[in-house]
Amino acid sequence: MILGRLTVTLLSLLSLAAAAGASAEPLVYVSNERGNTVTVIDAATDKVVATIPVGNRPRGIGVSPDGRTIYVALGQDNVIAAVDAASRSVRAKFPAGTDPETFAVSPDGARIYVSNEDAKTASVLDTNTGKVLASIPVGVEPEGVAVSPDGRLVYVTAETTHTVTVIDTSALKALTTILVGSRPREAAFTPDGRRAFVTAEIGGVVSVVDVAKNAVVSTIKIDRPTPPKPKGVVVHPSGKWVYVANGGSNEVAIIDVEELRVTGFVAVGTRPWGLAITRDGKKLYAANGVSNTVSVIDTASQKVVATIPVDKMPWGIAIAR
Amino acid sequence: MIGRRAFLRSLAAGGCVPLSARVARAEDVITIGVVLPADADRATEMGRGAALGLDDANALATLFGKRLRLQTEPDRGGAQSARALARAGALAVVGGLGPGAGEALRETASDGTVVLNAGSPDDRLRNEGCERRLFHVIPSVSMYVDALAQYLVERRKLSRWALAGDGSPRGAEIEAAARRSLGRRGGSIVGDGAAADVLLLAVDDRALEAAVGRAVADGRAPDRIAGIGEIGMRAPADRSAGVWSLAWHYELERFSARELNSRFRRQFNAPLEDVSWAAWAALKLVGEAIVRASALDRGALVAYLESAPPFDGHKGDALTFRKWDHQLRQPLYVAGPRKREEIGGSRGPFAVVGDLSGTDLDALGTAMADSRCRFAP
Repeated sequence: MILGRLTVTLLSLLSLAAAAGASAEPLVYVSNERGNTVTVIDAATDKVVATIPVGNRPRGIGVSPDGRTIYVALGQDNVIAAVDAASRSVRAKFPAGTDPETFAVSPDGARIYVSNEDAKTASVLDTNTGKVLASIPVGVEPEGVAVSPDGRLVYVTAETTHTVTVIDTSALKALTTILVGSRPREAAFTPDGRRAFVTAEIGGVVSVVDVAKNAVVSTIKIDRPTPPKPKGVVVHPSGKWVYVANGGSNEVAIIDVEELRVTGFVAVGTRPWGLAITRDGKKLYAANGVSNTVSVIDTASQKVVATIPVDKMPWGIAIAR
Repeated sequence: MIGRRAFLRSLAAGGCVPLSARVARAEDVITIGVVLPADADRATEMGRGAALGLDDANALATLFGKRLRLQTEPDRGGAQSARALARAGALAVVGGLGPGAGEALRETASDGTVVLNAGSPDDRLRNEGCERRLFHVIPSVSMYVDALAQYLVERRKLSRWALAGDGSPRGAEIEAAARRSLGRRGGSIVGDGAAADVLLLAVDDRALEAAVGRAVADGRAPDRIAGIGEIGMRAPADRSAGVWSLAWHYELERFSARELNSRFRRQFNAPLEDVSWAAWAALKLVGEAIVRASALDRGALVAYLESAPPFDGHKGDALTFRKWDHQLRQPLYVAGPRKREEIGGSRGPFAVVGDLSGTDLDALGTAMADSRCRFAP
């Protein structure tokens, strides 16, 4: 009887924890640009557990540090939707300037930095009040946004000016601009914050930025038989590898951070763009926009271990830790 | 949105300085010349593209301590206007639109000026008439015809073509290009129009509308008439017909084409089309040369453009200049008649029916082995 009560209590506690969004296993969230939904995948089983209607033209996606809120940029609605992870429903919509495409959540969860593609600006949102704190001029057609691990800097890529604008998050002003490869899409910082990697879709390269110097110190060419068109980029939690989604050649490139060269490729679905990696670094997820799937890559073996059908035109991926 | 005449006046007054004025702060302001054609509508198209290109070029250049400025000249015939712009210190001259304008660019380039052709598709300029300092942004006649053949022959299996010619030099180039293109693709020119799958209009731009009208009156189906460039699509909607190969279409969306089209329409309340796109691209190319390679003199600019830097023309592929004829490799598009009931608002009579991005870009135009271009050292 006592064991039975303990079991019931334990089960209740587990249910409460799950309901509160504090899942024991990571959950993978995928924005579906044409489906106007977010797919939820259980990383333990790599099965879809939910599909959440969110709004019009979801692209950028991110998770609050506590995992309770999923943020989705709705480009046609001009808002960032805040989705409650437990109830899997939209609980708020924050005006985010025009045509928000991508964004990054600050490490403390207090702010969201958003690129406004047709306004040449980056907006800064307060996640508590939903207010826009600042609108900062950046390059033409801003796209990728990345926050440094210490939260001090934000990088915003601009596709038409081929630049990265470096924003000081204390002053909420642009510090400087770095010229990178042609049509830069996304940026990612190494865990130690010393370097950032910026993909250039038309240039077919990855620019390596020395963060302290605000300068490109190396340019890694991704040489493929068909133009690779690199887009998404993530860094392994160990800082040893960088993964790049080659939307043109339908694969993920693996870059050795020490040697600054490509060491391998993993074939995935058609037009991979969004990438996300689990906190333990064991699994990498790639959103294949044209095949409407997500590829799951085992990073140790560098092989695809699952291909998960999702909704129409998956774009971005975020993983709740 | 300002009217056409006001816009052209603004280019001459606000966006640039008169020919005789000195350039202020010459160390960081770079002048780019644009020769505007005599036809006011065409001048507006080129001017608008150049103006947007200037804005985009300066969005980059000003971040690095440089600024481009436009200086325009109306076409006074021959190479006068281009040469005047060069004498006034323009780093490069953009032009090529209008009768004789292509040849004028060639002459200007032969003088040593760097010229970007945003208007003339003449195959001769890419072959016997090539010049080392002449770079072609607008596609050639051969490229346009190859694009039609890729769409009509390879995709729609319409391989028997009849020709409607007018004996003009443009018509002769189109016919010659069609013979080459069909020969490579297993197609043929047939003398009997009734037996042809497609009627290709091998005529000068000025004769296109009438040629389309005759073809329709003869009973040819609207999607079985073919021509090159944007001019043929400008008949009124109730008389529009034909399948047209294009460098750009205002309804393109992929690869940030939507954003470029939106920016152009917001600024000018008009669609972005071939010549405007080419002028935009020309200015942007020079802007990137100035920033990426500090190309502040003509030699450095030529060296940069010849180095085949990947240019983002919002077509999804890296656009580069071919080393053998300085033609910008690029995907083309094919537009065809839209259903009448779907026309309205910003949706004109022609929609994109063939998007040739992602195909072999050197399958369009003159291959290196066939090129008759020989650059002087």
